[in-house]
Amino acid sequence: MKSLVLSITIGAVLMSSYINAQLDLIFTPGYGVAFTKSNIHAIQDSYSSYILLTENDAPEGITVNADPNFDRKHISDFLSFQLALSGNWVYFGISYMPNKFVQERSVMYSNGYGRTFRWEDKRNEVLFDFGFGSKYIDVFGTFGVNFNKYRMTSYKVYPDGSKSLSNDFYFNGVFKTEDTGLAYGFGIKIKPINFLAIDVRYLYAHHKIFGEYRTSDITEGNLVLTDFSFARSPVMSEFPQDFNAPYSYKNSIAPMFNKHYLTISLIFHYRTND
Amino acid sequence: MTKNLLYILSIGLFALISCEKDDASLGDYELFKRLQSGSGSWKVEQVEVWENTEENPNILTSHPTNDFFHFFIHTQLIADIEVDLEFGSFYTNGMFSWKSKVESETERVSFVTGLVGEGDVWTVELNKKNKQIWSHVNGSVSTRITLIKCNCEFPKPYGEMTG
Repeated sequence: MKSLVLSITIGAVLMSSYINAQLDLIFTPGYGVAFTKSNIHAIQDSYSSYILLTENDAPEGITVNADPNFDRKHISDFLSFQLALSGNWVYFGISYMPNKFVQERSVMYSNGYGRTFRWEDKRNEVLFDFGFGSKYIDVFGTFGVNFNKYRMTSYKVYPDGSKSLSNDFYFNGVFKTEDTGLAYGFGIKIKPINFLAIDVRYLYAHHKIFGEYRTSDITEGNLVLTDFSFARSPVMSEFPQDFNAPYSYKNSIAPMFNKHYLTISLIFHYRTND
Repeated sequence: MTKNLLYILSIGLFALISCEKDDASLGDYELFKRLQSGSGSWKVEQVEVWENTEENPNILTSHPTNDFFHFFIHTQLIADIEVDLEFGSFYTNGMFSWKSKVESETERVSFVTGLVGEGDVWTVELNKKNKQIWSHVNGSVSTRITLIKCNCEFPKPYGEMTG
């Protein structure tokens, strides 16, 4: 509700400025492609350790076939939403970039049993853009906050191909955590014709926010990937960073996943300053 | 006219972004909202049972006549505080069978007991507004149920009305 009121207020302020000035208006869902690189070393370490565990535990005559590790780099299509004013040497806007990246990896025994890990990285970037605005080009810096949700789902796989989250195995589970961080970057908007613009921007989404830098020193802990279900055995509540070490809070994964974005998107704009 | 249209659209756009979504925070069980919507009842349309140790198992399929789940909020008094809990109950042949607290996520639905580590855990294979497919493993036996949203009729309470 607060975000709705804030959005309407900002929208109203921007629109009143627009009505009284000869500025370009940009209000649009944008669609484009995002090249991203995420710092998910802990997830990769965890997956490698699980492969090692299964290889060590494999019965005689049974081989292990594992997918390659989780990717740090992604190319994906994405949607964005923008409300901006441009012209008179000024550019100001707000942008919202929701995005979700999902990866699945399986480690299978040759007898058909195995495990599938599904990693879901769901982010919402809320950005304020300020910079130089003109008829054909806008150049701006962008600054904002990211609200992120992470989910690692760990399924047991059976020879018939079915996947299960039953509580028979304590590796099964839905391990979740959340995080908020600062995001900053820069971008350029090229507006060759009326109604159509190309938005190119680089964004660095950090995993920490103002005031958080010393928080872990005080709390001595982070929100880690955890399964809160009452139906699960408490042997392994946190998703381990190392499957071959004792399962504990110390051997868990905190969401310190910084991310780089390079996005190119097509957006609608309405030119009024011809 | 155009400016007015743009004005409405631009504000509406950001209003839409703020719409409530089927989303969860930590410790929330996001699927429950969908399960309990409307009457909160879901008919068991089909039950499939097979051996999961075989690559191509024979699947036994049945269609119960009047089995359904009911999802609802149950208010309990815990330490003098009223607490809303998410509950699910099951009806066999239209008659109440059992009820328990439920944890419902987009990947998993757990009917939990009062003991840690106990309860029936179902894996969500399909999650649609009016249709759900869940599977359950008990040793080498797998069960898959197909649920369809319904306005199933709950049994009338026992007793007599007298003047």
